[in-house]
Amino acid sequence: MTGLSMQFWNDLAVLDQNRASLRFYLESEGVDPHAIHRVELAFDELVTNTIRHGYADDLAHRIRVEISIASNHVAMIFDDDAREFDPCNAELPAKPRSLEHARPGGLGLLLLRRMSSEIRYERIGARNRTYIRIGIRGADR
Amino acid sequence: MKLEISDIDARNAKLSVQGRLDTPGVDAIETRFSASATSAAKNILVDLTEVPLLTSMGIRMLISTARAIHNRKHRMIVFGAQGIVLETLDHVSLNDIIPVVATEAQALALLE
Repeated sequence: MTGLSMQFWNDLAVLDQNRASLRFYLESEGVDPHAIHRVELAFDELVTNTIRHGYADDLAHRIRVEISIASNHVAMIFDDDAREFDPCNAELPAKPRSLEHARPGGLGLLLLRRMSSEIRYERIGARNRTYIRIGIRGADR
Repeated sequence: MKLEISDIDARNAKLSVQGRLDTPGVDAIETRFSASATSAAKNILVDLTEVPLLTSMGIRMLISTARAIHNRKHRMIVFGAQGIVLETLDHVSLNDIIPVVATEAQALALLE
């Protein structure tokens, strides 16, 4: 199992650069394009949510993401000191009845759950740790 | 990110997006996207053929723009989504509130 470790500050300006590093790593390891898109989506949703909603202050906070590849999945561990947030138990948005009633909030969480083969969460001291697995097509590797 | 608006006929215009509609991508084009779509004063066909990734930020932009167009008595239709983008639209049931079709011809047929 190989791995990629990323650490960055809670600044959305670095998101694109880190996402590009993630993509380069997955492509170089031969992960199939569909799984790469799912991993990128999960990365974008979780990190954006943490940076936008996770902090009550304007201080710099370090976010760590560990990525590894197994025979049938990509495993990601997100570690941050944002306010407690369990994506496994958070409430999903209701299905909108019309354009007027549509509330976009919570769609990232919905996508995260639908695109992942497994999500686990634990609170360790003052830190969130979220474990996500995305299935891959082993034949491409 | 690239955004292009072109008139189809007197009542309809096409808004084509090229690039990723993730958080950085939406931040880069949201103001132009919304302004282009609403100032056209026409029905808007949003072409996602050249969009390889769509996240919740992109969906939020589509919904808010569709609502603004609807308030101006016009309609917005999405077409051309493929692969993970189409899968994403399905997961959030966007088609329940904004029409999502495969081709530009199907989009125009909905407006006839």
